[in-house]
Amino acid sequence: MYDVMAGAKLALTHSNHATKMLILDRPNPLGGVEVSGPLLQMHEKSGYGKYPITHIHGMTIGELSILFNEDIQLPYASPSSKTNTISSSAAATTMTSSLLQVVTMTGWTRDMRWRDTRLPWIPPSPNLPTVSSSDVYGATVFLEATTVSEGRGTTTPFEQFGAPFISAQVGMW
Amino acid sequence: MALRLNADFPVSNQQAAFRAAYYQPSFSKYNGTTVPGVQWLSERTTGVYDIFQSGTQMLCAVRDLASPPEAFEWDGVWFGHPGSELIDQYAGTPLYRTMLNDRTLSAETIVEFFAKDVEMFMETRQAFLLY
Repeated sequence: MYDVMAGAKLALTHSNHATKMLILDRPNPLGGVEVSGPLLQMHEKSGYGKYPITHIHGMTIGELSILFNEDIQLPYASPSSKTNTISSSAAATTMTSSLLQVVTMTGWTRDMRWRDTRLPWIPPSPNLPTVSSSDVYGATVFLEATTVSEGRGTTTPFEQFGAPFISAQVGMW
Repeated sequence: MALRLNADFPVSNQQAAFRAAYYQPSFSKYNGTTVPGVQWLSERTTGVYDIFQSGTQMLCAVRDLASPPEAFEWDGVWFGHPGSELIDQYAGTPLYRTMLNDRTLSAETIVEFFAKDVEMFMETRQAFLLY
Protein backbone atom coordinates (compact mmCIF):
# COMPACT_ATOMS: atom_id res chain seq x y z
CA MET A 1 0.00 0.00 0.00
CA TYR A 2 1.39 3.32 -0.93
CA ASP A 3 0.11 5.93 -3.26
CA VAL A 4 3.48 6.16 -5.06
CA MET A 5 3.16 2.53 -6.18
CA ALA A 6 -0.44 3.14 -7.22
CA GLY A 7 0.80 6.18 -9.14
CA ALA A 8 3.37 4.06 -10.94
CA LYS A 9 0.65 1.65 -12.04
CA LEU A 10 -1.50 4.55 -13.19
CA ALA A 11 1.37 5.97 -15.23
CA LEU A 12 1.91 2.62 -16.92
CA THR A 13 -1.81 2.12 -17.49
CA HIS A 14 -2.29 5.51 -19.09
CA SER A 15 0.83 5.48 -21.24
CA ASN A 16 -0.17 5.80 -24.86
CA HIS A 17 1.90 2.82 -26.00
CA ALA A 18 4.14 5.21 -27.91
CA THR A 19 6.00 6.75 -24.99
CA LYS A 20 8.88 4.89 -23.42
CA MET A 21 8.49 4.45 -19.67
CA LEU A 22 11.89 4.52 -18.00
CA ILE A 23 11.89 3.24 -14.43
CA LEU A 24 15.03 4.13 -12.47
CA ASP A 25 15.05 1.45 -9.85
CA ARG A 26 15.78 2.24 -6.22
CA PRO A 27 16.20 0.12 -3.09
CA ASN A 28 13.13 -0.83 -1.12
CA PRO A 29 13.85 0.94 2.21
CA LEU A 30 12.52 -2.08 4.09
CA GLY A 31 14.65 -4.51 2.14
CA GLY A 32 13.51 -7.14 -0.28
CA VAL A 33 12.91 -10.10 1.97
CA GLU A 34 9.89 -9.42 4.20
CA VAL A 35 6.49 -10.14 2.71
CA SER A 36 3.59 -9.71 5.11
CA GLY A 37 0.00 -8.62 5.44
CA PRO A 38 -3.16 -9.07 3.42
CA LEU A 39 -3.28 -9.34 -0.34
CA LEU A 40 -5.27 -6.47 -1.82
CA GLN A 41 -8.69 -7.57 -2.99
CA MET A 42 -9.58 -5.74 -6.19
CA HIS A 43 -12.96 -4.57 -4.88
CA GLU A 44 -10.96 -2.49 -2.39
CA LYS A 45 -8.64 -0.93 -4.96
CA SER A 46 -8.14 2.80 -4.47
CA GLY A 47 -5.58 5.54 -4.75
CA TYR A 48 -3.56 3.64 -2.17
CA GLY A 49 -3.49 0.30 -3.96
CA LYS A 50 -4.43 -0.83 -7.45
CA TYR A 51 -2.96 -4.29 -7.80
CA PRO A 52 -3.11 -7.48 -5.74
CA ILE A 53 0.08 -7.21 -3.75
CA THR A 54 0.56 -7.71 -0.03
CA HIS A 55 0.82 -4.82 2.43
CA ILE A 56 4.57 -5.39 2.73
CA HIS A 57 5.66 -6.70 -0.66
CA GLY A 58 9.45 -6.64 -0.52
CA MET A 59 9.80 -5.53 -4.12
CA THR A 60 11.48 -2.54 -5.73
CA ILE A 61 9.63 -0.03 -7.88
CA GLY A 62 11.30 -1.59 -10.93
CA GLU A 63 10.12 -5.07 -10.02
CA LEU A 64 6.62 -3.81 -9.30
CA SER A 65 6.52 -2.07 -12.66
CA ILE A 66 7.23 -5.35 -14.40
CA LEU A 67 4.57 -7.06 -12.30
CA PHE A 68 2.01 -4.36 -13.09
CA ASN A 69 2.90 -4.63 -16.77
CA GLU A 70 1.55 -8.17 -16.78
CA ASP A 71 -1.86 -6.52 -17.10
CA ILE A 72 -0.87 -3.56 -19.24
CA GLN A 73 1.37 -5.46 -21.69
CA LEU A 74 3.78 -2.73 -22.76
CA PRO A 75 6.62 -4.28 -24.76
CA TYR A 76 9.35 -5.07 -22.26
CA ALA A 77 12.68 -6.83 -22.31
CA SER A 78 14.40 -8.23 -19.22
CA PRO A 79 17.45 -6.43 -17.89
CA SER A 80 20.53 -8.22 -19.19
CA SER A 81 23.07 -7.64 -16.46
CA LYS A 82 23.44 -7.36 -12.72
CA THR A 83 26.77 -6.55 -11.10
CA ASN A 84 28.03 -6.56 -7.55
CA THR A 85 29.63 -3.13 -7.65
CA ILE A 86 28.40 -0.84 -4.88
CA SER A 87 27.24 2.29 -6.63
CA SER A 88 24.64 4.95 -6.14
CA SER A 89 24.20 5.34 -9.88
CA ALA A 90 22.22 2.78 -11.83
CA ALA A 91 23.70 0.49 -14.48
CA ALA A 92 21.85 1.11 -17.75
CA THR A 93 20.35 -1.80 -19.62
CA THR A 94 19.81 -1.81 -23.34
CA MET A 95 16.27 -2.39 -24.47
CA THR A 96 15.91 -0.14 -27.49
CA SER A 97 12.70 -1.62 -28.81
CA SER A 98 10.83 -1.89 -25.53
CA LEU A 99 8.41 0.69 -24.19
CA LEU A 100 9.00 -0.28 -20.55
CA GLN A 101 12.60 -0.12 -19.47
CA VAL A 102 13.83 -0.76 -15.96
CA VAL A 103 17.28 0.59 -15.19
CA THR A 104 18.50 -1.79 -12.53
CA MET A 105 20.64 -0.94 -9.55
CA THR A 106 24.13 -2.21 -8.93
CA GLY A 107 25.20 -3.46 -5.54
CA TRP A 108 21.80 -3.88 -3.89
CA THR A 109 20.88 -7.23 -2.41
CA ARG A 110 17.53 -8.19 -1.00
CA ASP A 111 18.76 -8.29 2.59
CA MET A 112 19.77 -4.62 2.51
CA ARG A 113 17.55 -2.13 4.28
CA TRP A 114 18.07 1.55 3.54
CA ARG A 115 20.72 2.08 6.23
CA ASP A 116 22.74 -0.78 4.73
CA THR A 117 22.96 1.05 1.41
CA ARG A 118 24.66 4.05 3.05
CA LEU A 119 22.74 6.25 0.62
CA PRO A 120 21.37 9.60 1.77
CA TRP A 121 17.66 9.58 2.61
CA ILE A 122 15.71 11.94 0.37
CA PRO A 123 12.21 12.26 1.86
CA PRO A 124 9.65 10.93 -0.63
CA SER A 125 7.02 12.78 1.38
CA PRO A 126 7.13 15.55 4.00
CA ASN A 127 5.77 13.02 6.47
CA LEU A 128 8.56 10.51 5.87
CA PRO A 129 11.43 12.82 6.81
CA THR A 130 13.90 10.21 8.06
CA VAL A 131 14.87 6.60 7.55
CA SER A 132 13.32 5.83 10.95
CA SER A 133 9.96 7.07 9.74
CA SER A 134 10.16 4.69 6.80
CA ASP A 135 11.05 1.82 9.16
CA VAL A 136 7.81 2.27 11.10
CA TYR A 137 5.42 3.59 8.46
CA GLY A 138 4.17 0.19 7.35
CA ALA A 139 3.01 -0.52 10.90
CA THR A 140 1.70 2.79 12.19
CA VAL A 141 0.08 3.97 8.96
CA PHE A 142 -3.04 2.00 9.89
CA LEU A 143 -3.58 4.46 12.73
CA GLU A 144 -4.42 7.10 10.11
CA ALA A 145 -7.72 5.27 9.67
CA THR A 146 -8.62 5.58 13.36
CA THR A 147 -9.27 8.23 15.98
CA VAL A 148 -5.69 7.71 17.25
CA SER A 149 -3.07 10.27 16.26
CA GLU A 150 -0.28 8.80 14.13
CA GLY A 151 2.05 11.68 14.94
CA ARG A 152 1.47 13.89 11.90
CA GLY A 153 2.05 17.48 12.88
CA THR A 154 5.21 16.62 14.79
CA THR A 155 8.83 16.26 13.73
CA THR A 156 8.60 12.46 14.07
CA PRO A 157 5.41 11.40 12.29
CA PHE A 158 4.55 7.72 12.53
CA GLU A 159 7.27 7.24 15.17
CA GLN A 160 5.04 8.53 17.93
CA PHE A 161 1.34 8.01 18.34
CA GLY A 162 -1.34 8.44 20.94
CA ALA A 163 -4.75 9.79 21.79
CA PRO A 164 -6.42 11.83 24.54
CA PHE A 165 -8.40 8.71 25.49
CA ILE A 166 -5.35 6.49 26.07
CA SER A 167 -3.00 6.78 29.02
CA ALA A 168 0.63 7.11 28.01
CA GLN A 169 1.73 5.26 31.16
CA VAL A 170 5.28 5.73 32.24
CA GLY A 171 7.37 3.03 30.58
CA MET A 172 10.35 1.04 31.67
CA TRP A 173 13.95 1.87 30.78
CA MET B 1 0.33 2.37 26.56
CA ALA B 2 4.11 2.17 26.90
CA LEU B 3 3.81 -0.63 29.45
CA ARG B 4 1.47 -2.62 27.20
CA LEU B 5 3.59 -2.19 24.08
CA ASN B 6 6.83 -3.01 25.85
CA ALA B 7 5.17 -6.23 27.02
CA ASP B 8 3.99 -6.94 23.46
CA PHE B 9 7.43 -6.25 21.96
CA PRO B 10 10.08 -7.71 24.25
CA VAL B 11 13.59 -6.88 23.08
CA SER B 12 16.99 -8.04 24.24
CA ASN B 13 19.14 -6.62 27.01
CA GLN B 14 16.05 -5.62 29.00
CA GLN B 15 15.69 -2.52 26.90
CA ALA B 16 12.37 -0.88 26.15
CA ALA B 17 11.21 -0.25 22.61
CA PHE B 18 8.53 2.26 23.60
CA ARG B 19 8.67 5.21 25.95
CA ALA B 20 5.82 7.39 27.14
CA ALA B 21 5.64 10.61 25.17
CA TYR B 22 3.45 13.68 25.18
CA TYR B 23 3.27 15.81 22.08
CA GLN B 24 1.35 18.69 20.57
CA PRO B 25 0.66 18.25 16.86
CA SER B 26 0.82 21.48 14.92
CA PHE B 27 -1.63 20.10 12.36
CA SER B 28 -3.79 17.05 11.73
CA LYS B 29 -5.51 15.13 14.52
CA TYR B 30 -5.70 16.80 17.95
CA ASN B 31 -3.65 19.75 16.73
CA GLY B 32 -3.11 22.33 19.42
CA THR B 33 -3.73 19.86 22.23
CA THR B 34 -1.37 17.73 24.28
CA VAL B 35 -1.61 14.13 23.20
CA PRO B 36 -0.51 11.36 25.56
CA GLY B 37 1.16 8.58 23.67
CA VAL B 38 4.37 6.70 23.04
CA GLN B 39 7.54 7.10 21.03
CA TRP B 40 8.63 3.97 19.22
CA LEU B 41 12.38 3.40 19.40
CA SER B 42 12.24 1.37 16.25
CA GLU B 43 15.94 0.63 16.01
CA ARG B 44 15.34 -1.82 18.86
CA THR B 45 12.63 -3.74 17.00
CA THR B 46 13.62 -3.43 13.34
CA GLY B 47 14.42 -6.85 11.97
CA VAL B 48 13.03 -8.51 15.10
CA TYR B 49 9.31 -8.16 14.39
CA ASP B 50 7.53 -8.24 11.06
CA ILE B 51 6.04 -4.90 10.09
CA PHE B 52 2.47 -6.14 9.63
CA GLN B 53 2.66 -8.06 12.89
CA SER B 54 3.86 -4.88 14.61
CA GLY B 55 1.04 -2.81 13.18
CA THR B 56 -1.55 -5.38 14.17
CA GLN B 57 -0.29 -5.58 17.74
CA MET B 58 -0.36 -1.80 17.99
CA LEU B 59 -3.92 -1.63 16.72
CA CYS B 60 -4.95 -4.26 19.24
CA ALA B 61 -3.23 -2.30 22.00
CA VAL B 62 -4.86 1.05 21.24
CA ARG B 63 -8.23 -0.68 20.81
CA ASP B 64 -7.87 -2.41 24.18
CA LEU B 65 -6.56 0.64 26.06
CA ALA B 66 -9.09 3.16 24.83
CA SER B 67 -11.09 4.63 27.68
CA PRO B 68 -13.99 4.70 27.07
CA PRO B 69 -13.72 1.82 24.58
CA GLU B 70 -15.96 3.51 22.05
CA ALA B 71 -13.48 6.37 21.75
CA PHE B 72 -11.43 4.11 19.49
CA GLU B 73 -13.17 4.21 16.14
CA TRP B 74 -12.37 3.51 12.53
CA ASP B 75 -12.43 6.98 11.04
CA GLY B 76 -10.38 8.25 8.11
CA VAL B 77 -12.11 11.64 7.99
CA TRP B 78 -8.79 13.52 8.17
CA PHE B 79 -7.89 11.92 4.85
CA GLY B 80 -11.24 12.41 3.19
CA HIS B 81 -12.59 8.96 4.03
CA PRO B 82 -15.03 9.06 6.95
CA GLY B 83 -15.85 5.86 8.74
CA SER B 84 -14.29 2.52 7.98
CA GLU B 85 -13.57 3.07 4.30
CA LEU B 86 -9.93 4.04 4.80
CA ILE B 87 -8.83 1.05 6.86
CA ASP B 88 -10.40 -1.28 4.31
CA GLN B 89 -8.51 0.49 1.51
CA TYR B 90 -5.22 0.46 3.41
CA ALA B 91 -5.56 -3.22 4.28
CA GLY B 92 -6.97 -4.08 0.86
CA THR B 93 -9.72 -6.09 2.47
CA PRO B 94 -12.52 -5.52 5.01
CA LEU B 95 -11.49 -8.72 6.79
CA TYR B 96 -8.68 -6.99 8.65
CA ARG B 97 -11.09 -4.54 10.23
CA THR B 98 -13.70 -7.14 11.06
CA MET B 99 -11.11 -9.33 12.73
CA LEU B 100 -9.72 -6.40 14.72
CA ASN B 101 -13.27 -5.59 15.84
CA ASP B 102 -13.40 -9.03 17.46
CA ARG B 103 -11.67 -8.55 20.80
CA THR B 104 -11.48 -12.29 21.32
CA LEU B 105 -8.93 -12.58 18.51
CA SER B 106 -5.28 -12.07 19.35
CA ALA B 107 -2.95 -10.15 17.08
CA GLU B 108 -1.14 -13.40 16.35
CA THR B 109 -4.36 -15.04 15.20
CA ILE B 110 -5.12 -12.15 12.87
CA VAL B 111 -1.63 -12.16 11.38
CA GLU B 112 -1.76 -15.91 10.92
CA PHE B 113 -5.08 -15.59 9.06
CA PHE B 114 -3.32 -13.74 6.27
CA ALA B 115 -0.41 -16.17 6.06
CA LYS B 116 -1.96 -17.79 3.00
CA ASP B 117 -1.99 -14.39 1.25
CA VAL B 118 1.72 -14.06 2.01
CA GLU B 119 2.45 -17.53 0.71
CA MET B 120 0.51 -16.83 -2.47
CA PHE B 121 2.23 -13.53 -3.15
CA MET B 122 5.69 -14.90 -2.43
CA GLU B 123 5.08 -17.40 -5.19
CA THR B 124 3.61 -14.77 -7.54
CA ARG B 125 6.43 -12.28 -7.11
CA GLN B 126 9.23 -14.78 -7.69
CA ALA B 127 9.05 -14.41 -11.47
CA PHE B 128 9.44 -10.64 -11.27
CA LEU B 129 12.40 -10.29 -8.97
CA LEU B 130 15.43 -8.60 -10.51
CA TYR B 131 17.85 -9.03 -7.61
